[in-house]
Amino acid sequence: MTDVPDNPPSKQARVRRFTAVELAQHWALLVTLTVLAVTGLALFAHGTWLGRTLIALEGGMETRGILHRCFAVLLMLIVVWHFLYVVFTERGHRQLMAMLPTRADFSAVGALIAYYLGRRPEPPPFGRFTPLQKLQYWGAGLGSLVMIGTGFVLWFHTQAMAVMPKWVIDVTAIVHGYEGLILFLLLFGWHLYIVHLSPGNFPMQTTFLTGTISAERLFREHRLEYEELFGPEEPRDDGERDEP
Amino acid sequence: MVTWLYDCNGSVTGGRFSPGGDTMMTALGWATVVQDAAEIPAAPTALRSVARVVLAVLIAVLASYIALEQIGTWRRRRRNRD
Repeated sequence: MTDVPDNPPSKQARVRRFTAVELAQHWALLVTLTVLAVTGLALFAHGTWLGRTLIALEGGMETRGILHRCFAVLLMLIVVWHFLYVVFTERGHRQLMAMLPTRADFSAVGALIAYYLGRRPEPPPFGRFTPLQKLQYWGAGLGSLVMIGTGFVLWFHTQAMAVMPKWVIDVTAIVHGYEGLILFLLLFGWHLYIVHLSPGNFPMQTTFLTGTISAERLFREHRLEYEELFGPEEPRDDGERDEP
Repeated sequence: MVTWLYDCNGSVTGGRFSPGGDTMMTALGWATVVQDAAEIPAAPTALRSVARVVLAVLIAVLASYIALEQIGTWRRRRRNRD
């Protein structure tokens, strides 16, 4: 596989979409958020059988707390790593710019809904990132910042109580718990569905493993980016079936 | 000791604290509250309700999106097959 295949590429040609550093960041975030979600959910639902089971599996309340804090520190490090990457590297900065929401994204969402309702023959053409991918990125990014901020207050609650009124601690605890649940739904529900379970992607899309995407899929799902790379001509059919 | 200001859900269940109060004061404040439950400040149930509504709306939006995509794809595939 080359970074830029022949022009026009065959449908099966793999096009580089994410670099090794970006895949590493994704993996680090995946593992960290999974542990944080499981250890956090145990506390959030401590009164249910699920919470009690999770707490027992995590070695009790104290071990659960230690695990949660260790992985919270990891999350902070990942956020710093990602921030440095998107600010100080050319590639990262371009990725961030491509992630910025535009007005066209809003009309594209409307067009996408019209397509699902059968009122458009084709889905709208998307660039490097679809509006839904942008929503997930900013939701996860800003959500992580909120979790880190509120988590700090709860972690150092004794010191926080010395300088903050009680209601701030109350609000922080509620925001941390529910924001965590929203992040969990966003990433482990919606993101997982869109990437792996939605029509055309089931049972699994391999981009998160290889960092590459087939030219056929790039043409179908990121038409504008495909046209920037290869022009308007469709990928040629070499007779082999495309893999998800 | 201050840890017990939180219930297992991570919520503050009571206490009388003011800005500038030190750790010892917060711990003592909790001890007082335990003895006099009527003095426990009300938990912010309104905020909790708002959070639950936001969560419910988010779940409804996500479920609607998934249903829309699944039904739309199914209808299109059926039409193409016919």
